[in-house]
Amino acid sequence: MDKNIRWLLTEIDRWKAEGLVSPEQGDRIRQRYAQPPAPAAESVPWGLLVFATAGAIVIGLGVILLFAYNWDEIPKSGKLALVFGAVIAAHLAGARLLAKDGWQPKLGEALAALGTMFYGAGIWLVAQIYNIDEHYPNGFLFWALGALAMAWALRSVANGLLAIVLVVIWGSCEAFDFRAPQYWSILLIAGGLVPLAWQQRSALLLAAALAAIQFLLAVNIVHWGSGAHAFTASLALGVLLVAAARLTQSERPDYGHGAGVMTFFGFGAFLVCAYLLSFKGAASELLDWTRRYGPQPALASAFGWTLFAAGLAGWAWIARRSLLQKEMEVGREEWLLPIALVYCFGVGGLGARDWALLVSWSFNLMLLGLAIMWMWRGCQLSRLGPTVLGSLLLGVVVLARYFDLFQSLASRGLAFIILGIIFVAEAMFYRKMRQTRGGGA
Amino acid sequence: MKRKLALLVAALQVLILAFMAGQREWISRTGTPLVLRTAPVDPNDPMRGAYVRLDYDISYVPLALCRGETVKWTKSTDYRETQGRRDRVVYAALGIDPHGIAGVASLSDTPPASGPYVKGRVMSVDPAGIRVRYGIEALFTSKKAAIRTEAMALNEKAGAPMNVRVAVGSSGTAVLKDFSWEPLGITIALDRPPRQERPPGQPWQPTPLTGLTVTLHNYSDKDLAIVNLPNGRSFNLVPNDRFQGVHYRWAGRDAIRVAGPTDADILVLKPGAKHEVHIDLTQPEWWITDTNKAESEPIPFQNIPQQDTWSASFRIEYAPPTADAVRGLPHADLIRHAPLRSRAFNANQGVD
Repeated sequence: MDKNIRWLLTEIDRWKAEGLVSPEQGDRIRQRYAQPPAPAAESVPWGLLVFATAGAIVIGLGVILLFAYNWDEIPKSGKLALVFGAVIAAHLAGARLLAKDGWQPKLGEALAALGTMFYGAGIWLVAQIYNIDEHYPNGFLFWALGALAMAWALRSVANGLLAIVLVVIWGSCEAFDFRAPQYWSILLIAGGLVPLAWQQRSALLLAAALAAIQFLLAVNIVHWGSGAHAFTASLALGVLLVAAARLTQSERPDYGHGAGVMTFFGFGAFLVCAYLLSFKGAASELLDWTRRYGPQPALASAFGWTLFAAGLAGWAWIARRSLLQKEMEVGREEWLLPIALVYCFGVGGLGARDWALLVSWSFNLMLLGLAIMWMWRGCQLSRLGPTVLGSLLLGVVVLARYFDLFQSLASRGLAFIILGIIFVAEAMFYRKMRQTRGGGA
Repeated sequence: MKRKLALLVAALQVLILAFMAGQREWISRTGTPLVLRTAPVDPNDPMRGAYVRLDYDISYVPLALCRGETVKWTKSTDYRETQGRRDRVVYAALGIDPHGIAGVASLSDTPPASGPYVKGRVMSVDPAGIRVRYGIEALFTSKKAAIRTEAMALNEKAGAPMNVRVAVGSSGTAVLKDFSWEPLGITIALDRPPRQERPPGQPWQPTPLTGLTVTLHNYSDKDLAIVNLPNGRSFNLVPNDRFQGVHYRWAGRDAIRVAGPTDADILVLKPGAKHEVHIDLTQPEWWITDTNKAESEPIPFQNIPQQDTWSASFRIEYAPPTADAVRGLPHADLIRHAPLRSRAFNANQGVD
């Protein structure tokens, strides 16, 4: 039972005892919120399942390492029988449990994940038996495709997570070891696993998928074009994710966790980018698209501009819904994101390196504005989250500029005094607003 | 429905594994058998365990053997273009020498119309040639066996190449089957005169290379005969084509050739025995020329300009006469006729 409801039910008893509500009213409130306890047979032993899934993956890793030892004593046919037997046995046992009721299908998923781990081990073992030394990332690709197919077949988060890890390994090997980044690694996760996370309403799978996309996007685009392309594409992805989060909150409120994940990754990417651009040196490098040393700068640009277009389209949709139709609300400070996106792509597109000083000033102001607006809104609504976040952002921006020991002590001292005064004022304002709204101090 | 889909995916996973194993098993049993030459080193793969890394003679294809598009690839020095060529599929047409060892006859981006060929992928391209990976560069074995193989390559079988048996399918896919050591090995020891004290303030000068001792080893458990022509004439000086900066060639190849072998030139090596031959590189028949200069005069190793000492990289090749040339001579049936190459050395006294 939800802990808030448990608290409420306890309070109802107290209210009835103190005569605040009549017994009938108390019972009606209780009926409204009380949830019937799940039958014992139906309850899912999540601890067992989580550990079983983790155990399946660890067993699979152990088997790979065991096979890697290369047992000379086992003949070729014995090794093949071992690997085929392990894959088939794990999948058959998993399928058997899938047909049962209750929590057992979940254990079947874990066994299917174990089967997929055995399948991966089999790829390497067959390569070992026949001395295959071809393009080794292909082994991870085929393994990932097997995990992806199993994830969709079972609508399984565990198999989905396994597929994400394998696609990341494949993409990283191609990029780092062979300098042949594969855009398919990004598309496989975006097209194959984000929809699964959405369908299953899984925040965990979505978080893993977004982290993988962000990583692969940066790695691949650095190899294709340059760090500047990777930077602007990451910024565009961040802005797109925040738009997607707001639209999800509005259109699919049942996937609130997913919107939270998107907001986290979106704002995370945006804040890192904005922070870097607040320094003149970094701004002149990171928005300079003319520094193309990779073999496929056109592909790097294509990814960047596609994300830019998708991000702007998302914000245009939000503008329509919130400004014209008044059907959704978006914090004012969040409009800074599409503005920053257009600004950065404009500067990058014009090749205006000389604007670095202006860019750094703009992003300093943008970060300050964002921090102050978060602090203000947090105080106004008596919400601790935005208040703390805004304060932290302001603190980081000020500390980053005035922590240098070689700077004037006077300017540093003044900056810290002003920062301290702002925090004190914020605390008093927060307290006042909380009292006004009827909360505690 | 979920269960059926899961079983379908499981069946696909098993099919992929079966295809991998089945294809290689089929090639192994029905493919064209070939023997390739290699020398081992010993890396480790976290997924597949210990293995012996095999570097074949056919792994580096000099420009002269490149055909079709591959010739154009070697001409470009543009970084992006060079990167784009990595992993491109190439086909090495193979020729079998009289000793049964397969070598590259030509390398092209299209399969040859006839004859055995092996499919590979470009690893790197340089103006002198193309390094190719054929997918048979690793011999997976237990860690103990891998370490043992490496130790043998350095000690008990020093200088003996590995002969790797492979089977090649109709599409050019090669499957590594097993290997054996060549019974005859060749090692070299460079003459190292006492190092001179460097006078204060003077730049470092390399020790000049004046000669070397070649040793032929019988690693087999049977008697083997070698042909030892006078004055080191059973040996050739071959440029190390695997090092792209080499631009020196042996000038004395024609001068050194003399009449065929006699009875006295044939030596029988008992199992475990060895025979040493000293080569005086200061003699004119061992001089070399700079191919970068149009009219370069032959010079001895010790006179190579200091900036070029790394570029004068060579191997000593033991090149016994053909079976016809020794027919009727004593122990002719014990002679191994396949040429044998040493590790590379350069004028800077370095050995690879």
